Amino acid sequence: MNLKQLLKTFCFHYVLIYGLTMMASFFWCLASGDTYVELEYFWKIMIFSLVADLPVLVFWSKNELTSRQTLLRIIIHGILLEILLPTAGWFIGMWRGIGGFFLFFATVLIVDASIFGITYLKTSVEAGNINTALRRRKRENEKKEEESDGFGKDNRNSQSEQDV
Amino acid sequence: MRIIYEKVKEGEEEVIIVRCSKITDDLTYAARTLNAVIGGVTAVKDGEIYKLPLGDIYYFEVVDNNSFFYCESEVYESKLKLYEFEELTYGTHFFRATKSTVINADKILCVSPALYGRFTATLDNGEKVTVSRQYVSSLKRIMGI
Repeated sequence: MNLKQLLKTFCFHYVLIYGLTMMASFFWCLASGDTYVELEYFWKIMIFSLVADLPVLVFWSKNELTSRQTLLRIIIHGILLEILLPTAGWFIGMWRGIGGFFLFFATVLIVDASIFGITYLKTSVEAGNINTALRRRKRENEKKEEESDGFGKDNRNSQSEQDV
Repeated sequence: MRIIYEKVKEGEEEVIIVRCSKITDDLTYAARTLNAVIGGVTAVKDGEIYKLPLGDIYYFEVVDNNSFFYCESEVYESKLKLYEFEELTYGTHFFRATKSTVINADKILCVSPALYGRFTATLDNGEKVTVSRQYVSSLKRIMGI
């Protein structure tokens, strides 16, 4: 991924992570009966979102990544997330104790795996659409080749005209 | 502007005649591109120079600052830079697929999903090439999606 594309992804992910974390916090408050959130919590989540977004930088590369390199970076990205997020989460007060740690760890793992799965699913759907278009295009090209040389079906016209 | 096609006999030389009041840069570019598409691009293999029709090229790749044309089974060297080939094939069925490759969409048999939003394109000769996420839109545009 080049730097321009990476920065675009970085900003998009940042907004997404911040929004989702705030939504999760809102529902958590509803479930636990808390009625208000301290103002500094918003700043803390902004920093937390930044920490969650930073590992995406491992995908930056000057050259095109091979499938193996991509897989390796996906694994490194996952490991970094599992190190950085629980640490940031602890400082913010998102979890306490061993049970809290495992719950937090599992949540990060599930969210990361879900994003990976959704991306793959989206790519599969796109690939399906492209394949349908490719098949249609090949059929049309074959039909054109069979029908004529472009000068009309009966080949009587020696001149053909097009407006552009 | 009208485009007129005149049929010539089999084996007779094909000629492009441009009737205009002034030779503009755009016309020169269009004629150069048309010449490349029909006449072919210069390629080198085993020290011999060939004229390759664009339709025979499966993809163009730059490896360590050296450029190559990949055809059905042969590989030819080229003096063209990636951007030059991209410019030359602008408006045709060639599209930028990665940082270092330009693929002929007419030679793609099918695409399959790969890791991290990328695609693997299987070409008519069975070869597999990568299409980056950022360039997929070009392929979709050619396909009319």
